[in-house]
Amino acid sequence: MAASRFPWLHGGIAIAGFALLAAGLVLRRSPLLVWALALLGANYAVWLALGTHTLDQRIVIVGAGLLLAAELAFDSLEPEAGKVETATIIGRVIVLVVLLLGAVGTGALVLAVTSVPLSGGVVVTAVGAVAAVLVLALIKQLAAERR
Amino acid sequence: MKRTASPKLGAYAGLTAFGLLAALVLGQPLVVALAAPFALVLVGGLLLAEDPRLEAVLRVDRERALEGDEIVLELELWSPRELPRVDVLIRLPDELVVEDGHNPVSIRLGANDTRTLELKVRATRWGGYLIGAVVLRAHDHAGLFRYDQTLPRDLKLRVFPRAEQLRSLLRPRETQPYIGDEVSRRRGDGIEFADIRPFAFGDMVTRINWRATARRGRLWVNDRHPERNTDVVIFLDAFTEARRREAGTLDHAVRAAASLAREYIAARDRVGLIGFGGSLRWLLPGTGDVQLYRICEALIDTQILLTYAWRDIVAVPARVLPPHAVVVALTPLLDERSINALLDLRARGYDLAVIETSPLSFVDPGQTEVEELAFRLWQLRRDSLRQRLRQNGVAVAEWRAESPLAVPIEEVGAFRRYARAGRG
Repeated sequence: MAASRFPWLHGGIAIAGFALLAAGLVLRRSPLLVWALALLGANYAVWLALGTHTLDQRIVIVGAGLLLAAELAFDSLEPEAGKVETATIIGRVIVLVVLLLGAVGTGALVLAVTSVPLSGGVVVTAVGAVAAVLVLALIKQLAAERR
Repeated sequence: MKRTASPKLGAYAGLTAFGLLAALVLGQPLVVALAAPFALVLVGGLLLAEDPRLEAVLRVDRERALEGDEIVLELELWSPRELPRVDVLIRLPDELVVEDGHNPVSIRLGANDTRTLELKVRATRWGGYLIGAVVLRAHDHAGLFRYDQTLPRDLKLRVFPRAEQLRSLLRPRETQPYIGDEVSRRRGDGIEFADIRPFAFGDMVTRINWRATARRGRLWVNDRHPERNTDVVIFLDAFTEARRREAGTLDHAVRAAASLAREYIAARDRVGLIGFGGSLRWLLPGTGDVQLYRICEALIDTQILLTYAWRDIVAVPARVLPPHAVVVALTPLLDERSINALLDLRARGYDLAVIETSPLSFVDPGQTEVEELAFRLWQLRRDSLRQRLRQNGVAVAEWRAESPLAVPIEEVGAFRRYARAGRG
């Protein structure tokens, strides 16, 4: 990461994140994968927070990359199912491509929204917090309905 | 189908919450772009998640098979929805080995598409099996939920022991009154020439021996041996067995019993069965294909049941052991109770022959000098036991698994012929 003021901090978090990822894959433990992805994402967020505060357009790729890493990691945790048909693999690859395109699109949308100049303040922060809570509530509601 | 959330659901929800919280705490709205893809997968996946209503039917091409036969299992799958991945596992007993096809397998199922999976399995051992336990796991497109279903085991497969071809069989000392293939020692109507005797009132003209009549000046007739059937009782020792991995003495004994039953019944003899072991079972002597099926059904249910209870031949009903029947015992000669039962049978005057299903192939002689000595002593004790049986007039032949069944049959037959000649 360019222009890092604390390279040792970012390097340490990245190493910890990759170590957790490797441990999660070897031990087949999904909580370790979650922590690894959270650490890798947090590393980037910390870099943004400690950086120049300019809009980094690479975040779209980073977000899609994190999603791809998560999808592949969780795929590897699936129990062995013997022979996997080619059609199943092709279908999965198509789903992954669609997810990546969706992730890039969503990231680009967020990037576009954040580029809109708004004067900061309590109201904007409160709206953001409420939106975040609403998104989580929506996910929880959907999950509860589908269970 | 039972729906369960995959670890991905909780993980993505946690990552989304963590990302949104981090964006708020750090005051960096851009961080939302890291959490947004996970939120997108969650919302999309949850909206699209539906019960796959997967239907599955397992069929087997036959209910009865012979050892070594190939059996075809067909699993038909159907769903009104497109399923990106369905994991299929047909639970099979160890004795059914997959020859062709994949088990387990992951497939893709289209909406309203019927897929038929074919699995060819080979039955490596006789026995009665319950198959049909099919474990199905369907995944949704986002992989957030799993839908599990297990089909009950409701298909029965009975694998009969493969019978060996036998050229000759043990012949009993006495025959029964019914028509069969065995030349009786008695005289009567038959094909086999026995002797000539003077004509008596009631003799048929066709039986007159004209050459003897011309030479002796009075009427002489031919006597013949009638063809009669015999009663055979197969005594299967199921007290204990010597086993190593997939093979054991009981397996060989059951195959031998099936071979003998088939051959005797083909010769129109009556065959009965005594399963002498932890569970005492018997079949009254009978003949015909129905009896053969009965015997095979009884044989495939044979198993070693450990018991310390004393068993005596008295426990077997008298009708199972008809007079003048030949009792063919298939035993590894390992259990004192079955040995005593055999000696008891002989003491009661039954015509007894013992085919020893040798446990030697399944016993490790040992590595150390003491172990080898113990092995030799054990063999000597077995020799002594065989000798004891022979002294009681019982024909005994050792049958090693690697040799055909005809070998011990011939040995026992030879012993009985010489013993008969010795008695004069």
